[in-house]
Amino acid sequence: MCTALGEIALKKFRHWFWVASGCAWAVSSVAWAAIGISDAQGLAFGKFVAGSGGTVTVSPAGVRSFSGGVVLVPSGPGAAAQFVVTGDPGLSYSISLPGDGMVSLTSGSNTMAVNDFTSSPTLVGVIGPGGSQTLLVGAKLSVGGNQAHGSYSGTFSVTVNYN
Amino acid sequence: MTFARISSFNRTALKAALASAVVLGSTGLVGTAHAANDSTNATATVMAPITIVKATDLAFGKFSALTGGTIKVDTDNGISVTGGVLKGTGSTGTAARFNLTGDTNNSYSISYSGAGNTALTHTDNSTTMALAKVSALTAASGTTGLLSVGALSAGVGSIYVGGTLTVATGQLPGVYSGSITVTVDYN
Repeated sequence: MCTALGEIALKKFRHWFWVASGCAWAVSSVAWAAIGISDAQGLAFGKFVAGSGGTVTVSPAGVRSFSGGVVLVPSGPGAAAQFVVTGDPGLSYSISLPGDGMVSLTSGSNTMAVNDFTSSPTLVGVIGPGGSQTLLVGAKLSVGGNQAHGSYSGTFSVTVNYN
Repeated sequence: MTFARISSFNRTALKAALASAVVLGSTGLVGTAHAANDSTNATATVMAPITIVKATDLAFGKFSALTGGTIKVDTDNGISVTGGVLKGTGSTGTAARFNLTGDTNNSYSISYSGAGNTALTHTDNSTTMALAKVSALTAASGTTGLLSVGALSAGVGSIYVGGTLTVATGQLPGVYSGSITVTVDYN
């Protein structure tokens, strides 16, 4: 007869010992801490003049670049989004970013599409020794020719999952 | 030895072992199925383009050089002379005025062609007078120096440019002209 003899909690893992008729045949370790994610800073494309239109890209490192007729305004430099992922130190996790066509910024009836989301770490992160890791996210904004001026905003979500 | 022990399981014990394995499997799934999701804001500010258009030219009017000196047009159109320069009777000066449009909530930088000095050239394409420019955002008197930064109010603004012209003794009579390019850019 196999019966659960007991469990011991060691740091953040729970170890189950199963004993059957005098033969220990299974030990299972179950993750103790759930993975968590919280936003620390929004994604900002900053200030720019649309001109003939183009794109504004913010890299995960927070570096802003443009293409086409967009003119970047220095006083609004933009910033990458920052999330803090928490969980068990050393555990790897997968990162799911919004796909193309899923996110747009709006100002009244005017919109701009946000695509090409990228992150650092890229696809897989590893929780740091302190139980957290900073996840940085950038993306590319499509700006129309003479895009109506104003303050645009939107939201997007990021999902993390233990591997 | 191990093999012998396993083979000695009776059927009831084997079923219990399988059941335990299923429980273990389920427990493992619970442990790895933790996913977390969070949303954040994304923002962008599309600014109205900043534009600048000349509304009025800078003019010093008519004067006689005589023994030379200076003639100054202030940003409020006030005109004054020093030295031997004699302003023509009834002659008036006007400061240059540039009109701006753009975004209220952002300062802009201002730059000028020719740095501080601009040469006005006689129609002989050779003789010149030096113009030391001054600028202001309002038609103020007593303006000194060149502004390098401004801010729009309710999306509009102006830059006034005046200056002091240095006139040589016996400066060659005639019409002198030059141009000043003012460039503005969002900071």
